[in-house]
Amino acid sequence: MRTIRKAALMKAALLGAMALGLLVVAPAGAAEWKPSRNVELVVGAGAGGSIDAQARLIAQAIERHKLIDTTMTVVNKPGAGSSQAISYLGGHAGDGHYITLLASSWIGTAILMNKPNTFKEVTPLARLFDVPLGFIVKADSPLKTTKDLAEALKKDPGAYRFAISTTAGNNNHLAVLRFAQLVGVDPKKVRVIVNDSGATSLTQMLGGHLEICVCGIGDTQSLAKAGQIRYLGSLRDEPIPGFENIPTVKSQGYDVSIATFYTMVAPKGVSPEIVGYWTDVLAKAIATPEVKNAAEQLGMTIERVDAATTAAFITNEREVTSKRLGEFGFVQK
Amino acid sequence: MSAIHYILQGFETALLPLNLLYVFVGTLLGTILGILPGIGPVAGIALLMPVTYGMDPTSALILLCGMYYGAQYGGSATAILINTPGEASSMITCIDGYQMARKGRAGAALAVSAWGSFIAGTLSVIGLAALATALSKLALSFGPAEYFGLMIFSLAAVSALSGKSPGMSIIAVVTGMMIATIGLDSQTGSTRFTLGLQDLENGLAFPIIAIGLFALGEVFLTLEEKSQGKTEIIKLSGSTWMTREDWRRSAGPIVRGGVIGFFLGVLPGIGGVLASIISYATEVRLSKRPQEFGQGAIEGVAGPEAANNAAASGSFVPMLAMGIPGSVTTAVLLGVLIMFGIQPGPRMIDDNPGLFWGLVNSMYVGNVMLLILNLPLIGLFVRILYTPTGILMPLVLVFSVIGIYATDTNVVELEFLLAFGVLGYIFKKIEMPIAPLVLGLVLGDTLEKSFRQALILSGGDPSIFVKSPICLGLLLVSLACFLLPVVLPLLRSREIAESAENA
Amino acid sequence: MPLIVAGVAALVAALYFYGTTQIFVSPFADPAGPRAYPYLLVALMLVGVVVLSLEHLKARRETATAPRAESAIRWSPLLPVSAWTLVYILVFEWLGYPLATAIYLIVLMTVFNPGKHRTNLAVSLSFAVISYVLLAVLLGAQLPAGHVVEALTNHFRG
Repeated sequence: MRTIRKAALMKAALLGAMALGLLVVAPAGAAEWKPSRNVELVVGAGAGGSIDAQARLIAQAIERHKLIDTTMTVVNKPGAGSSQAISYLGGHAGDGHYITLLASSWIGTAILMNKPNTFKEVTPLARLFDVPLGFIVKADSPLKTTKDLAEALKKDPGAYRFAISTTAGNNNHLAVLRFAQLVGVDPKKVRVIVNDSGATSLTQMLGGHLEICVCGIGDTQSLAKAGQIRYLGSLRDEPIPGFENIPTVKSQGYDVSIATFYTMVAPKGVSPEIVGYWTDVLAKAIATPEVKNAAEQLGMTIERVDAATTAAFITNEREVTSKRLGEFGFVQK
Repeated sequence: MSAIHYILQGFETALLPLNLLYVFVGTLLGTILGILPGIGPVAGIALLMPVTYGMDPTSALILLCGMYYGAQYGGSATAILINTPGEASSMITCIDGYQMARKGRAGAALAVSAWGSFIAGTLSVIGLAALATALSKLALSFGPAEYFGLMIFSLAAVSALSGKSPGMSIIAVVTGMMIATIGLDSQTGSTRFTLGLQDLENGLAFPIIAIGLFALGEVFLTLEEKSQGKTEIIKLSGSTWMTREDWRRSAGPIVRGGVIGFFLGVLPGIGGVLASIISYATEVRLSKRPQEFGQGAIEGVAGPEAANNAAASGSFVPMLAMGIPGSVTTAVLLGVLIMFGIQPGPRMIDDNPGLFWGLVNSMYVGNVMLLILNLPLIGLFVRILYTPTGILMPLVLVFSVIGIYATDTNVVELEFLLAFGVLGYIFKKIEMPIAPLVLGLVLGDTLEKSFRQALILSGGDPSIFVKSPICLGLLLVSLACFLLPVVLPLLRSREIAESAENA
Repeated sequence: MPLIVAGVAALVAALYFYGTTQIFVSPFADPAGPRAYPYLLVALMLVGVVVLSLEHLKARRETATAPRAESAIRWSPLLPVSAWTLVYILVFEWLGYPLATAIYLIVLMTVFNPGKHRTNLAVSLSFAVISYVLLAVLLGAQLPAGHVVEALTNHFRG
């Protein structure tokens, strides 16, 4: 008994040493990079939300179509508007086995919370989905166009009340305030409440407690088709493909557009090969039928934008948002 | 006419062997997940979603609904057995349910929980089917001002729980409310009381506080008792099932809890927790033996359990009738429906009656399956209580840690969990009443938010609270609730004085 | 005892008050603002403190006998168990769930279920492993395997 155990122990020790040794000797990455172990797809939101759903879809698509050779797990790091997820990445600099799907609020949050270093913590990979938003009113509202709204607000800034979600100072909030500015009304006099979700805003509007929601156009389709709501205008530069009948607010004379987008990023310090690898895989993943289908259902448009354009886009967003947030005095000292 | 046709067809669908299998799997899985503190139906649904992609939509929904109900029940089981609320809405069940278990009546507590949930669940599914459209109008009429009135009313209703020390209760409620303010202010985004920690920016997640206070607090208490040598061997007294006396006492609370829970559940944002608290307070007020509450009164389990199950069904109303989710879970389910290309909403009942009734019926079947599955499990669950303390308590600790870690993978949260555990122990020692604290925690956010939103909408005009009939009504009733305990004794003593004079 | 509670509550109110004064109020804040409600809570807490103190004084007047012996807060086993749990939490991610949990449980059980070493060991190990397999592997919950286990599994997965 004793001798057999001793031999087994020896074997285990040797294997252990081999394992550790292999770790040290593991190839440091050739010209082409591929993941060599489990990849974590980190989500800056809790399980069950729409971002989480999209992340899981992508992970599923990648696994089903064998777009990578290793496994991929979805890890939730919710909190602080994606800041937790980004902090988590900070501990894995240069490692291509961690990619993160962030909601667009991450840019605003970083500025609001005075955390400018956030932008250095990530390497943009791709901008994936866009959630088109719009000004939504009840079907029986006297407002028919954005101009009607503008006129009404000029007469009385508190005449029409807005609801936005999900956090104060985010893109939706800024859109309303910017709109007020463009109309020539003191933004401080406009009545805006902040809800946890678009659903609450819609319920309050339908119940007559307020008049305008800034919500997603895709996921309110059923209410529109049922004749309960109308879209005053979409908050984009161009009309939304598939919803061309909704005029943009911009085309009606007020240059306000918001981008609510999901970005995929990698930790800082990853090599260009890693970036190239992932942008490739992601492009394939979002072309799969399941992801395309789901995005359609949820009213999201798919963007296939590469890393460089994404990086430029983020820088631009950061500048614009900084300016606005500073103007409106949201930034906390 | 055709509705009956669809109802029958719905049952046909719901009773297909394959769908029955799905209900079974769903409720079983849900029960297991519900047992894990902190992991609830949302996580379960999120995990199961990929599995459901290839399935028929109705079957997928049946599976997920089964899981939803299962999780509710699992959460109640742990609340009763080890004072660990598996679900936020099982917190109130801990109060009397655990005390019943300590007195050897765990079986009855589990049974009343199962039966209460079943009866209330069934009634509310019927309510859902019959009243969906009318109820959604009710839901719509509740705006910020009305919610404020409701919150004040809840405070008034729960003031009955102040027990021996109103002073402690006030401190408890305010403590709960203070904890609820930690995080980002909803209307302005300012950070409040986050101590510079990014982890606190979203506030302290509910499960952390609930499990810390209830489960860990109790573990520390039990370990202390053990080290003092006060080992209590819990003998099962009476039968594992409910006696006739139990039924007599529980019938009323179950029906009342069901009604309260259902109507509160219809209101978006109000969930099982508030419903169970109000039900508990109602039963205390109506009981002829209010001092029994907190020591293992079966009404204290029957009512809240019925309420939280009914609230779960009620939360489907806005989702199905308007396509607007009223809770996190229904939001996730809505996402699933949309994935399948089904847009719930005002047109769903007309456009897709087959699905609507299939879903409604599967909710009913889910309730039945839950009962069938869990009644036999009671015997098994109760055996857990026979586990030696020295083994059970460490396991509860690990359980709690898993539950919290699995959702957010954040070690800082675990540290807070531990801190609340210590607090929970201290609170029990100083006899700080837990129910008001929980209420303050649950209400605090909504109370402040609805007040401020109402003021924003009215442009700073406070008369909005009085102009709304619902709000005004609720405020007046609350005033009455607060004043009655003070005024009645005064009136009575005056009567006595007068009759003494006249004599 | 109630006076101690009242004292602590008053202290909490004071700290909370200080925290409230630090809250940033943006020029776009609503009429009530982020500070109004917290100030209200401070006031309510003080009301509670006063009520509690009055209750206590009234009770002291009415009962001439000594107050009943309340259960005192004992620091053991509260502190050692908390400290050990803190250690568990801190090494959790590094050591990995299965290993950390097994060690954590074994120690606790040895202290609170003395003498039954084989049972304790069996329960600890099987619980750690089985729960890990069930939750992390089958249900996909996020439990860390730990660097040690990860290294080994990666080697064998190749």
